[in-house]
Amino acid sequence: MSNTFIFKFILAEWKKNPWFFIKKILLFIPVLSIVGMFSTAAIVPVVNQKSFLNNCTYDWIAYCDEKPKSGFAFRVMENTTVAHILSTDNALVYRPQTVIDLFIVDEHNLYELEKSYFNKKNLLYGDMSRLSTSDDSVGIALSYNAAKQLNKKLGDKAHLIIRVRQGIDSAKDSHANLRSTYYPVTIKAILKPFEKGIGLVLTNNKFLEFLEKHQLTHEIDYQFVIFGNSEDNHTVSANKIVYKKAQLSDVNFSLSKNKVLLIIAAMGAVVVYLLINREVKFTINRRLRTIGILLALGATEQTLLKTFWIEQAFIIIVTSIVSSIVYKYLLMEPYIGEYINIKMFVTILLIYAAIGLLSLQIAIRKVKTAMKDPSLPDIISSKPEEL
Amino acid sequence: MEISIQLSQVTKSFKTKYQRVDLFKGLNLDIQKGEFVVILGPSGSGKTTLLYLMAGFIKPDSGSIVVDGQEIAKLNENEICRYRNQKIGFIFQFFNLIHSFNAKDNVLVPLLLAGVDKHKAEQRANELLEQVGMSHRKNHYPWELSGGEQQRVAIARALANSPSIILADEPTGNLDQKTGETILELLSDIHHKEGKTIVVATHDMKIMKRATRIYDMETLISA
Repeated sequence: MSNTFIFKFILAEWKKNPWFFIKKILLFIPVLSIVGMFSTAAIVPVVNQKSFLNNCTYDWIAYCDEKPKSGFAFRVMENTTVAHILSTDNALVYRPQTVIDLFIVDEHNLYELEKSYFNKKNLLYGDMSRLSTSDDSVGIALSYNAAKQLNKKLGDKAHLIIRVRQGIDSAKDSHANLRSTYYPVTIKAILKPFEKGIGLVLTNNKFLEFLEKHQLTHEIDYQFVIFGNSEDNHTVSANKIVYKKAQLSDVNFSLSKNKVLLIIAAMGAVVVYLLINREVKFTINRRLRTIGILLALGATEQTLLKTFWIEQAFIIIVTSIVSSIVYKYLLMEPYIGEYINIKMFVTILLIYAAIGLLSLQIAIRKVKTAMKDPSLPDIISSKPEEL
Repeated sequence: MEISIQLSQVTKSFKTKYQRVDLFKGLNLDIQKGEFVVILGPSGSGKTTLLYLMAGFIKPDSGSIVVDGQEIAKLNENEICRYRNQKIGFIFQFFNLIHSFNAKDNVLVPLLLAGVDKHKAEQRANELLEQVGMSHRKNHYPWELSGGEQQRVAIARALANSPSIILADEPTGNLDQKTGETILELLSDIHHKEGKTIVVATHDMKIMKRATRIYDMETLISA
């Protein structure tokens, strides 16, 4: 067995030129992390939907075809639409072009949520079980992270502050004519992170009266997600899909909307392959003379292949571990951080390792080709650069 | 006397971009066991190719190469590797030490490739470095050694698995005269003490005095 030789060789190469290995690791980490981000970004809504469905108390859930065109989770608070169902006539009513700012209410003051607030990593851990209801409030559905933020900060003491820009359509316009109205809310449900908006759920008459009183009921063309009880007799319209609870378990939450993400992820995997291929090729070229010397000393093809494979695989494994950490703590924490438990983390790690090792398996053929290179005898009999 | 290496009707040609060059056309050569053979010839005459054929680095187009009764062209990939590892010790003009390994580790390479136990291999490497007068430099890396020292380590490496044949391609070609002499002294010593078959390809006429037999490439090719 030549395992002693293999490990001795790899260690000696590391020792001789550590930067050569570190450079590779640094090169792969961002690529793998981003591949993971894009590939799992497509899964995020499904993960959250499943989680929601496991815990929801609603009898139906409706999704619309149209999605908001811009913004991330924190923008939900800035530029959003509200949906509610009128239990009186089953009409679906939305709040169009109305800026809803969600304020934190504590015992003494109001604090406005700032954009940056939602990006603070250390505020992302909340206990969702603490979310409770109160009879005089209206249930709302928030994006997962917004809910986490709120729960961490204030439990369920949230208020909707509905600001209507009187006579002005755009939310970007001046605040000069802003009229604010307040209503207590209870966080009832969690939206998919990439589905923006505050969905109102379980509206009550008080709230409807409140909206009417403040002239806040207008219809708009789209909404993202709404939830309802069995008594809600929701009418299916062209731009939304309604699932009954009984159907929910059969619903395949298609990734079709995220095809672009999957394509980007697939392209990323190709980039990983190309990088590994390039690195293997580069390593071979750098070591062509060594390959020739080792063959001359009686190294077998298997020994050389194994040496290259173990060395590169080690780099890929180290890279995969670091990439998984980057993926979890730097890229995905704001979106599905709580769902990336140890099992998910290991899965991501295995996916990274699989992409890398599969690419390596393909790229390693170049070593075979190099070993058959007819110029090898000439290379080992020529004067090396270092002499 | 017993034949160590026998080349019969060996042909070897190379293809360049524009033409095919016939290097050997029916080359015959017999080398007896324990001989110190010098193959003389100018650069480009095919000396290195001849050694590579004997070592099994390259295959002849036709003809046979029998080493210690074994037709090496018929060996499969693993057998030819074992042959190179066990039966042949190769000394290169440019030493060809592995740069990430120190002197001792370079000597260890053929032993570890042969699967020799690490401790036994280290013991053997130490002995060989002692034999070539390099034990005091065993932890030094190739770039820390002079040309002569590197070649001594390369000789120790060539002897690692106690091969019966040592093939040396211009072993003094990259050394100054004095250092070259000491290397030749070392090879002669190995020849006398261990009775190994030594084949040296060179264009250095001074090596001839140590040879038990001399072949001229020109004569070999035209014969």
